Amino acid sequence: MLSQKQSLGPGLSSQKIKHSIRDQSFYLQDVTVDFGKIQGLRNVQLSINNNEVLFVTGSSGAGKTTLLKILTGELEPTSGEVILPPKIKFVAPVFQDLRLLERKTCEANLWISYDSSVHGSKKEYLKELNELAKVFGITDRLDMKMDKANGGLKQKVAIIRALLTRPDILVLDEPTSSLDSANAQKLFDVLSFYNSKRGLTVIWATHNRELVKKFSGRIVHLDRGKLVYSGHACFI
Amino acid sequence: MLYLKLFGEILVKNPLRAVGFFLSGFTLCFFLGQSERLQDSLMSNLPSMGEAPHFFALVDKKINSEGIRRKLMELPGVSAVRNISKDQIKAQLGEVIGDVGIDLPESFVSPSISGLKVSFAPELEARSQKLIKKYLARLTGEEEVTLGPTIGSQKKTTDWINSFKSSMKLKVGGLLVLLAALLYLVFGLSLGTELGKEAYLVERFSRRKNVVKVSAALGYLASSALMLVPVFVFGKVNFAGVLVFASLSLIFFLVTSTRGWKTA
Repeated sequence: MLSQKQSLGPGLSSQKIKHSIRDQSFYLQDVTVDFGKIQGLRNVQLSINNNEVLFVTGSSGAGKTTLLKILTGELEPTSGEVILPPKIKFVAPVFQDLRLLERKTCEANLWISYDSSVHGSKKEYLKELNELAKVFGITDRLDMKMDKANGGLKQKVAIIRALLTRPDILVLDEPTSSLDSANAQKLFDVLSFYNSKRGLTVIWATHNRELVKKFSGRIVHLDRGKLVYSGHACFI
Repeated sequence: MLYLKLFGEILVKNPLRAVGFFLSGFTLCFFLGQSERLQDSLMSNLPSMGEAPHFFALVDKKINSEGIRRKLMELPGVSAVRNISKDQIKAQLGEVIGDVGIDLPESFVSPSISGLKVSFAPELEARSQKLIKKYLARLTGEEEVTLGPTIGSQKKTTDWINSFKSSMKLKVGGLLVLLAALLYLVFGLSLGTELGKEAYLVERFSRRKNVVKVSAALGYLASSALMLVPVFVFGKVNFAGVLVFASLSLIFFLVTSTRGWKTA
């Protein structure tokens, strides 16, 4: 274990976030998060492997968002450690509150993720942007301002923005809350494609029972801040 | 440069706020940076104050004339107390003695005295004027002060209108500084909110580090430097005022860089 500091999010860096020599994307060691007297997470031990698609389930207030915020660096654990693999990973989040610029168009919100060191030319980036817009069926609404867009469109923009960063790990907090089942399934298919073809690790918090039922991978279930189950969906 | 471009884009996308930010900034900067010059200019435009009922007092320099000035200003019936420079004392004495036809030698004005000009309120009775003089003598010690006669006790109303106008100018100036500071804070923080949000997203969704901090630092540094240019062009800079102005820009930087998306 190396004690090298890493910044995960704006202004966030922690002695509690370390690099591991193991090949896990994340390893949470005895992580507890306190919000005053309320405990968001209680002694969570969790390892997430590279290229894994992991569903995080639990009722409202179970600690799903807290767990994802720990993984994206938005929050720091009160105690315990978050251990990362030695190779620096880029974690792209899809926040529950989406964090879009309301007065800008869909396309302008997507351009936020342009990084010349990753995408090379703007032309190449635009090609990728258009491909994803086509996949999610929003090509004709790219010029629409966010404050005029419905919840589903906003969610799609937030997801495309995260995918456009070409992340190693994608962390999604309730990404299908405003999507119908067909669109939710489409999102799952797209992310499965990215997972199998590009090795994307996906950590997905959801209430969507339909998706969870169809899912054959690993699920972790939280209850009042405690990790109570980690295994196949069929046993939950 | 990405960081400055981000700040520039925020200004372009919020033109009203940007104009308000720069207008209030330039005004505040000018008032604070050039406050000494402005005060001098206003004071020299106060002929009416000279014509108000007033007297001169020569005080031994070992006495804290600034403390005396403050105590006198607290009295009802005293409208203004000004420190008089050595040259002004000489000129004043010259005016009096000149009538007698005597030239005033350089050594006449002792370097160990300082002068005060105390102006009374227009309607102050002679009895109250005497009490104020007595109070001054008691403050300094009777042997440490020389009090002149009260000058111009019978004044026309129009002189007092002028005096009132001039003192109002000072008060309006103060209010303007306050208003400009308030507007500068409102516009600066409001633009900072927008910048914080956008820079946060760029930082969050790219591999770049410290986008929020660097863009806020560069943006506010550049705009403050721009606002300070006229202050330095006019010369006679009040550095304390510039420091106050710079500290406001520092507040903008700190608020913007620490709040990120929370500013939404």
